[in-house]
Amino acid sequence: MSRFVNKFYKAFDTLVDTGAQSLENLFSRDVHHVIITGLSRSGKSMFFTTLMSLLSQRSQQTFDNLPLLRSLPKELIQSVELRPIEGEALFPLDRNLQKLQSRQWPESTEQIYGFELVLTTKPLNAISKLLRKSNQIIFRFHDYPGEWLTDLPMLHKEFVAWSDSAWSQQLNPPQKHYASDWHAFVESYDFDRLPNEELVGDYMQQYRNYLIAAKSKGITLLQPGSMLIPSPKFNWEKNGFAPLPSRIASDPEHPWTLLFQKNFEHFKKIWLAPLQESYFSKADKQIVMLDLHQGLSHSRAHLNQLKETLSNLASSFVYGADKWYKPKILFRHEISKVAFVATKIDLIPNSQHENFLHLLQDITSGIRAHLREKEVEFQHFLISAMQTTDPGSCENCLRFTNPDGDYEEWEFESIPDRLKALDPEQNYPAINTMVPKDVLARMNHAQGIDRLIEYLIK
Amino acid sequence: MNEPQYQERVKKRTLQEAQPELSLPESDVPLQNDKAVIEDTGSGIKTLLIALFTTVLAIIGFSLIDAYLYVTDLMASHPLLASLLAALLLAVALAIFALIRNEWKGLRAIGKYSNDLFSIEELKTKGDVATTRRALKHRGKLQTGSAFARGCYHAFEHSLREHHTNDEVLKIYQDMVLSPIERQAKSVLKRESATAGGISLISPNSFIQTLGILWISLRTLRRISLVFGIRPSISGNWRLLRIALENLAAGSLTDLLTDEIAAQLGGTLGDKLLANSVDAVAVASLNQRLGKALIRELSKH
Ligand SMILES: Nc1nc2c(ncn2[C@@H]2O[C@H](COP(=O)(O)OP(=O)(O)O)[C@@H](O)[C@H]2O)c(=O)[nH]1
Ligand SMILES: [Mg+2]
Repeated sequence: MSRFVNKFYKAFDTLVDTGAQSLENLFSRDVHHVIITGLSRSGKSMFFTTLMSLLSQRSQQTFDNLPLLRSLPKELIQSVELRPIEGEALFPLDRNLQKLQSRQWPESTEQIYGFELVLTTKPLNAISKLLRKSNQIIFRFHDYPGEWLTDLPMLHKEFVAWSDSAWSQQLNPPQKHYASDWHAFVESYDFDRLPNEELVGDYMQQYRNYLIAAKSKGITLLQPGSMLIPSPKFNWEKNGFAPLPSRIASDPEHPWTLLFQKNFEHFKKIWLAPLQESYFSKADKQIVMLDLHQGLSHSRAHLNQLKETLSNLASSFVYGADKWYKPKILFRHEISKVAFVATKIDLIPNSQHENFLHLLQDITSGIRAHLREKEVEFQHFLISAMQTTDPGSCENCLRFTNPDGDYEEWEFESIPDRLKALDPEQNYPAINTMVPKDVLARMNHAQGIDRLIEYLIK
Repeated sequence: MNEPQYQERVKKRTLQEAQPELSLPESDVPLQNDKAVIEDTGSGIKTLLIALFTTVLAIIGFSLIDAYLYVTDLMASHPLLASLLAALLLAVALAIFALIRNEWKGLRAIGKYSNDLFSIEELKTKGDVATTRRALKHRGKLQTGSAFARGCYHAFEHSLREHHTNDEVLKIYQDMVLSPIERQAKSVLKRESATAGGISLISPNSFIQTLGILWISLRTLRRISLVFGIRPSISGNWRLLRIALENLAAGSLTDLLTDEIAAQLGGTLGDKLLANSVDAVAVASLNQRLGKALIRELSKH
C-alpha cells in the first residue's frame, strides 16, 4: 500500500515538475512568429541580411545603428544568434554577406528558409529579473519564393473558375501586352486531340513562356507562380495544368477539362494546402514587402494589378483567420499585426518619401478593407536595407553608381501620391545600382528597419 | 509584343566623379569621466553668495570654537596631550581646507548652464528637424567639458539619419544623451553619498565632520557637474547652496543629538560608534538630497 502511495507521489511530483518547467519556458521566452511575404525581388533576403548584421554589430558600436528600436536598447542585448528550425534550411547569411562584399547582390530565393533569430537580453537586476522573466526574444522567420504566395488564393477555386479568371486577366492591360503569343497559340490549338504527356507538356510550356515574359515585364499577377519556381513536392511534368479557353473549359466532359481539373485538385492538395498550413497559419505577425519601384517603372496599369494581386491575397488571410489572426489566448494576449513595407526607399529622394508612403497606402487600400473586418492591426513603413544612393544637386536628385560602374545623377519629378495622380502614359524608371564598395557603412545607413521591428514587438 | 510607349518622369545625367564612400565612426571614444576639466570661466561672486558663505563659515566657526574649548579644557589637566591634539586638529583643518579649495576651483572651471537654450518641450512643439538638430548641436558644444557627455553626443550624432523626423530625433536624444548622462550622474552620486557617510562615521568631532561634509558636498557637486559638462547657473547655485546649508545644519543637529543619546546610554566607545553610524546614514541621505537637486537642476530642459 505505502509503496503504491509513494509511487503515486513520485509520479505527481514529476508531473508538477514538468508543468513548472513548461510554465517557466512560457514565461521566459517571448516568441514572435513573423512571416515575411513579398514577391520575388521585393527585398526580403536583403532585409534579413541587413537586420542580422545590424543587430550583431550593434553592441560593439559607439553609435546606435537601430536607434528607434527603443524596446530593445542596445545595452540590454547580450547576444544575437541565428538558429535553425528543425527540418528547414538555415538562411544563408554568410553567403549573402560574402556576395555583398564582392559587390554582388545576393541570389534570389528559390526555396523555403526557416530560422529563428534569438535575442538574449541581460537581466538588469534581481528585481526586474523576478518581475520580468522574459530574457529571450525570438523571431521565427520564413523566407520563400514570393511566387508561391500568390498561388494561395487558388485554394478556394475550382479549376474552371480559376481558368476563366486567369483568362480575363490576360485580356486586360497590362497583361494583354505580353499575352499575344500565348493567345495566338491557344486560338489555333486543336483541342480535339486527346491530351497526352507530350501535348500537355507542350501546352504548358507555351503558358510558362507567357508567365516568364510577363514576369520580366513587371507583372505580379502570375498564376500558378509555382510553375516559375517549381517546388520539389509537385511534379509539373506529370500533373501540370494551364488555363483553357472558356469554350473548352465550359464543357465539363471535355477530356482536357477533366484532366486539368484533376491535376488542379492534386496541386491544391499536394502543394498548396500543406504550404498554407505549415507556413502561413503559424504566424502571428506578418510583414508584407512591396517593391513599388518596379510598378512605377512600368505603368499605372502595372501598379493597379499589383494592388489587385495584394487584394486577392486577403482571401488567403481570411481563410487562415482562425489560426492566423486570432490571438493565442493561453497566458498571453496578443494582437496580430501586419506591416506593409515599401522597400528600397533609398532609390527615392528624401523629399518624395511622403508621397511615396501615400502611394503605398493607396496600393494597400484594397487588402486593408479585408483586414479591418478581421480587426487586424496594421501600419505602413518605408525601408531600405542599404543606402546605395547619395543626395544630389537638387532636392529631387539622387546619385548612384550604375551596374557599369558609372556615377549618375537622376532628377525625379514629383512622385504621385496615389494611383490616380499618375498619368497612364508616364512612368518613373527604376534606379538599378551596383553594390557599393563601402557595403558595411551603407548597411549601417539602412532606413526604417528599427521602426519596423519596434512596431512588431511592441 | 505591343507594349505602349511611356514618357519617363526622370532626367538622367552621368557624373564625372566617383561615388563618395561613407565611413563609420571610430569606436574608441571613451565613455568615462575626465580627470580634469579644460575650460575656465571666471565671473565675480555675487553678494548673495558671500552672505551664504559667511553663514557656512559661522557654522564652521562655532564648531571650531567648540573644539577649541574642548582642547583648552583638556589643557588644564594634560597640557602636552592637549597641544598635540590642537596641532593635529589644525593640520586636519588645513588639509580639508586645501581639499575644499581644490573642489571649488574645479567646479568653477566647468562651463555654466545657460538658460537661453530651447527647452526640449519647445523643440518638440516647434516640429522642425533642422532647428532641433541645430539646437541639440549647440547643447552638445556647451557640454564638451565632460568626456562622458562628449561620448554620448558623439554616439547620438552618428546615429542620426536624414530621414529621422523631429520627434524621432528627440526620442533618440533622450535615449542616447539625456538618459545615460542622468544614469551616470546618479551612479556618481551614489558613490559620493557613501563617501559622505564614511566621513561622518570616522570623524572624531563635529568640527571635522562639518568641514568634511562641506568638502564632500562640493566634491559631489563638482563630480556630477563633470558628468554633465556644465555647472548650475547662478539661480541654480542659489538653490543648491540653500540645500547645502540646510544639510550642514541638519548634519550638525543629528550629530549633536546622537552624541547626546550616546552620552545618555553610557558613552562607551561602542555607543559612540553607534551614534556615528546613525549620523553616517543621515549624512549620506542628506548628500543624496543635494546631489539629486543638482541633477534636477542640470537636466532641466
Ligand atoms: N537600392 C537598394 N536595392 C535593394 C535593396 N534591397 C534589395 N535591393 C535590390 O533588390 C534585389 C532583390 O532583393 P532580394 O532581397 O534578393 O529580394 P527577395 O527576392 O525578396 O529576397 C536585390 O538584388 C537588390 O538589387 C535596398 O535596400 N536598396
Ligand atoms: Mg530572397
